[in-house]
Amino acid sequence: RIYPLMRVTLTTSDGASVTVSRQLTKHSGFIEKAITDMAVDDNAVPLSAVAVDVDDATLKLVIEWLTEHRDDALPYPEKTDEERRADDIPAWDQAFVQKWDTKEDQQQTLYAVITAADKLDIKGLLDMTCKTLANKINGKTVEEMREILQLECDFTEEELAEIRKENAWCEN
Amino acid sequence: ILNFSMDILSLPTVFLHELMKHVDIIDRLRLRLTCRAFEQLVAESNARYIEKASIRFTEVSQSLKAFEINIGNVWVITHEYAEEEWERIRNRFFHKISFGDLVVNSDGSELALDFIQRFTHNFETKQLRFDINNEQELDKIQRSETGGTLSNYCMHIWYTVLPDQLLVFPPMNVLNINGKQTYSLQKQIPIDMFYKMISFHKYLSLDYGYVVVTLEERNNTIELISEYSDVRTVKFTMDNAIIVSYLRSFGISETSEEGDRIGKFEINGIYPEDIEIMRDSRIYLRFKNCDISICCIGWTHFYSGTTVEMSNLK
Repeated sequence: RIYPLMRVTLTTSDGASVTVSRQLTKHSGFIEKAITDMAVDDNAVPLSAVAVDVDDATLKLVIEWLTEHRDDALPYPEKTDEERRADDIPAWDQAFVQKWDTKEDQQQTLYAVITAADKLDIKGLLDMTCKTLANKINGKTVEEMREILQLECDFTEEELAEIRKENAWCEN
Repeated sequence: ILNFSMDILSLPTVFLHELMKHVDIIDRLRLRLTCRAFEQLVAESNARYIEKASIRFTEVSQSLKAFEINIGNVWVITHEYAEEEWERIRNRFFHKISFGDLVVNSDGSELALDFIQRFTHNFETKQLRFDINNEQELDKIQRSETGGTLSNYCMHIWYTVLPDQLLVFPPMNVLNINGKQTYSLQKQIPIDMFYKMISFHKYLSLDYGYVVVTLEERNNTIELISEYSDVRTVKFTMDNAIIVSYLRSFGISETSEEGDRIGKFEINGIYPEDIEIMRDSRIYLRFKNCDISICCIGWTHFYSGTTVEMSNLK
C-alpha cells in the first residue's frame, strides 16, 4: 500500500538532498526495497533518507520523468519478444530526450539516465531509453554507428575483411 | 553539468543485451564491423523478434545442401553449405533468434527432421511449419530419429497421402492435409485412426475424401472434441448431402433461427448464401463445449463439398 502524501528524502552521490513523494518513488524498485528494508511503521513520517548512487543533476532528470509517469501502471508490464518494438516512444518522452542541448551532452545525459534507471530499478525509464538508443542506431552506416556510439575501430584490415565475408552470407 | 563516462560499453550488460533485441538484423551485421566489443556483443545477445521467416533447402549433391533464409528484409544465402561453417556463422550473428512463424520448404530435396533441428538449434519459434510436397519428403521426415512431441510444429501436406503414412507423426500443433479434391476409397481414414489423430494434433485439417463418418461416428467426434481438456480443433470436408441429412435428422434446417435450441444443439448463427458479399451459405452451432461451423452448406441445391470445423471452447 502506498501513501501518496508520504515523502522520501533521497541523498545523491554528490551530497545533495531531494525530497519526493512516494507516488514517484513507487516506480523505483531500489527505493521501494530500501524503504521496505527500513521496516518503518506505515505512519512513521518522515522516513529516514535513502542514499542513491546517482548524481544530483541526473536525479533531477529522473524525477522529472517520474513526475510525468507517476500514474503509470505497476508492476511495469514485461514485454514478450513479439511485443518488443522501438517505434512507440510517447511524444512527451521523445521531447524529454530531445531537449538535452548539444549532441555530445545528449549522449552523455542519455547514458547517465540509463545508468541511473538501472541503479534505481525503474523499468519504464530503462525501456524508453533503450528504445531511444536503438532508434539512434537503426538504419545507420557502420561509420555513423561508430560516431553515434563513440566507438574506435580496433580491428585490423584482415579482421574487417573476415567479418565482411561472414556478413556477405546475408544480402539485401 | 553531468559528470559521466561517454563509453556505451560501460552501460549495464543486461541493458546492452536488451538494446540488441531492438536492433534490426541488418544493423546487427553493421554493428559487428564497428569494434571488437560490439562484434562480441552481437554474438552473445539475442536478435530482434521476427514475425515471419522462411528457409528453403535444395540439395546440390548427396552431401551438399544449399539453403536460403528469408529473415525480414535479409536473405541468407549459401551454395556450399557445410554444417560446421553454418554453426560457426550462426553463432557469430546471434545467441538466439525468435520467430513467430518459420516455414521450412525442402523444395523436393530429402530433408530429415533431425537435420532441421540441428540447423535451427538457436532458433526459437512459436510455430515451425513444414510444407511437404511429395512422398519422398514425407518419408524422409518420418524416418528421422527425432523422438518426443513436436508441440510447436505445423505440417502442411500438399499431395494425396495414404492413411497408413499419417499415424507415424508425433503430436503437432497443426497437421493440415490438402491433396487433390478427389474421392478415393484408398485415402479414406478409418474411424479409429481419425479419433487417434484428433487426440494427437491440436489442429487437424483434412481435405475432401479423407473422412467419411456415419451419424453415430459424427456424434462421437463432437463428444470427443467437447471433452478434451486442452485446445482441440478438427476440420474436414464431406459431401454436402450427408451433412444436410445429418442436420435434418436432428431437426436442424434452413428454417432454424439463431438462438433456437434443438436437442443438445444451440444455433449460434444461420446465414443464407449472399453473392454480393461473396459469402457462402453457413450455419454455426454449439454442442456442449464444442463450437461447430459448417460452411458451403446447400439446403436445397448441393455444393460438392461442405466444410465442418469443430472446436472446443478452451
